[in-house]
Amino acid sequence: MSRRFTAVLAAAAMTVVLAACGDDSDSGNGSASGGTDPIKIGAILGISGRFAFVGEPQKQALELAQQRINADGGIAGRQVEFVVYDDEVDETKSVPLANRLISEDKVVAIIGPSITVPALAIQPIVERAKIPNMTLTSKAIWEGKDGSYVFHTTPREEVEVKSVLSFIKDELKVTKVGVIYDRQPYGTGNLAFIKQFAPDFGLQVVSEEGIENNDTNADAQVQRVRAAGAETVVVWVGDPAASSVVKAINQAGWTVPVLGSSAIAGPRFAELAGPAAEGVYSNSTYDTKAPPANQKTFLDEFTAKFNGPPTQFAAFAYDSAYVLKGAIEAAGGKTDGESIRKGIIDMPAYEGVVATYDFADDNHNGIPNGPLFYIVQVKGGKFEVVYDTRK
Amino acid sequence: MSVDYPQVLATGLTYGVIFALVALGYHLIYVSSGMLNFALGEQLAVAGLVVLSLMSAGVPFVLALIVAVLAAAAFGAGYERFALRPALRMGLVGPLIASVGVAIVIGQARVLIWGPNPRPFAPFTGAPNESVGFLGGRWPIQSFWIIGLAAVSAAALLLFLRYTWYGRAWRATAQSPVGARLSGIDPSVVSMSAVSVASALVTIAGVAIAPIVLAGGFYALDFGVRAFAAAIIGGFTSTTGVLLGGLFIGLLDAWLVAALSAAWSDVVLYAVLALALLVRPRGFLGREGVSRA
Repeated sequence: MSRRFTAVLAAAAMTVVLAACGDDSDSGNGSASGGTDPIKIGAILGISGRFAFVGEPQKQALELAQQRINADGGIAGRQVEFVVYDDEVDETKSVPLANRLISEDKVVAIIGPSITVPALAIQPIVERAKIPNMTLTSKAIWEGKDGSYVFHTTPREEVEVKSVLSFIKDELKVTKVGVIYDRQPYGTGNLAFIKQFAPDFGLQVVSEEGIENNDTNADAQVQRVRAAGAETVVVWVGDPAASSVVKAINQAGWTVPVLGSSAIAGPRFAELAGPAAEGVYSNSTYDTKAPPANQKTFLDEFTAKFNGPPTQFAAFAYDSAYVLKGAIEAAGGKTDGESIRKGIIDMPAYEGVVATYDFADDNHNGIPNGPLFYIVQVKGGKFEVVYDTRK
Repeated sequence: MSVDYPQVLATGLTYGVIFALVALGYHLIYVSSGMLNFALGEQLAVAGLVVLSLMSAGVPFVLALIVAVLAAAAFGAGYERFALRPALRMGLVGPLIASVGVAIVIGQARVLIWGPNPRPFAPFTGAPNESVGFLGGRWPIQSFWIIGLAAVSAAALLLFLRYTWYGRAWRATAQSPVGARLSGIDPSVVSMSAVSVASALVTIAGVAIAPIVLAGGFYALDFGVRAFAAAIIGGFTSTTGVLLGGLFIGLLDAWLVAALSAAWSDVVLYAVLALALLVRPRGFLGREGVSRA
């Protein structure tokens, strides 16, 4: 290593240390409570890159939320401004973006990141800076940390798993379940929950087969799940692998009920899988056919503004924005981190798009840990609600 | 665990001929100039999207395919002249690095133009996902198109190399660039046309496989790397070797996934590759005495 390079490295290290000190001593964030400047809320979303299908609708949802909140009189009388950055779901970008939001943009809270790994990466920063953070992931990364500043509106993985299992037990009325799961944490984490909760629903996991999110062929996995005697196939992986799986099932001439996770509950899945998608079930946050009042306004406004219906990911961001609004108002308009954090926990139960949230010290998700989702089924190339796991 | 061999054959051959075509691309470029071109995977992945865009502009499919192949050939020629050749100043590692750079540029441009999401691509004939029973397995109808198209492309190329003056010039350059130059052949033209033809080949491969794997770039690296393994195992310097190498990797991959699991297939595949390199560093059909080594 050249001497010059070492010097640069040392300088870089110094900068990082100084910046970190700056965060701690920085009292700029939220100190202007009661002022007339807009309240700034940061967001770190995976708008481009591999998970653009998650982040892009979330950006749109925040645009809609900003427009709607401000038109309705803002937050505690002040306008709100969302400062949105794209981390491409790359944690090496999420971390500097979080620092920038806190020390340069002086945001009072952060929404996102969209995916778990970047959310874990910025957690130490928000906890240290005492900046409330509404992540958009389904992992309860706040668990086991007293006084954590991390919250989330996205239902926990267990909630979705229980929804799927209750549908298999009550509606499909079969007991032998084959699982094809994403070999990344998204799939392995949920597979563990499926195996943990299956006995509670009288179900038996007879086969578990891993797949990569971008695998183009699933013949072998399908063949093995079939050979194991599965009566239903649970597919816990996003597109395009999910479409590979249903295509392989279709091609093998196997008629078996297939259940996907909410990751496929959008128009994209049926488009990619074509006729093989027909009859496939999935979890969904929305009842698009007869939406209840809390969903209807959001669905209508989003569809009108962006020429298409929102994904569930959009709703998580939208609900996060409104939870922060409720929290700041519950704190009497105070925007320092601790006040907002207390506000989230103390605010009355809020009926959002996805669920009714009631946050508590031991529940930073605000959603009861039980079935929550609608079950939708592809009919004529479109998902339609066929079952409500909440009933 | 019971392995469904007829299905392994169906899946393995369908993917294997694609690997073989891409491996043939690596081979053509390597023997004519000694360069390695790691952009072939990205070029393959972008092909289906280009054809889709042309079709949505009203161009009929066959014409769109021809336009895409010609465009790829033109791109290949320019790419050799302006990216690979100038990098030769750094030695043979220069074009290798330049090709990785170009692969990244193609990949990023693809996302900017077509977005990150893959798109459905209709099979050449029949309904999407339609399959037929053949040799005891289920074969997508598109598989026969893939195998047919690959066979015709490879055969045409081999005949061209064997029986035309140009083909002989090419092989002469592979044998000895100096000797070829003394006979009045310009090696730089041979090298440029090799990259051009290889680009056209992977474009045909990319369009042929798109109905099965969707049009989109998410598999660029997978195909690029597996085809590279095929070329290494078959022997980079042997035309027959890289073609057989492609089929071998396709079948081995399908068998590993069926017999073990997707999780283990990559591990074993690359272990086999490493072992093959130990036993036969030149690949199983690669020869000594070819100047590029």
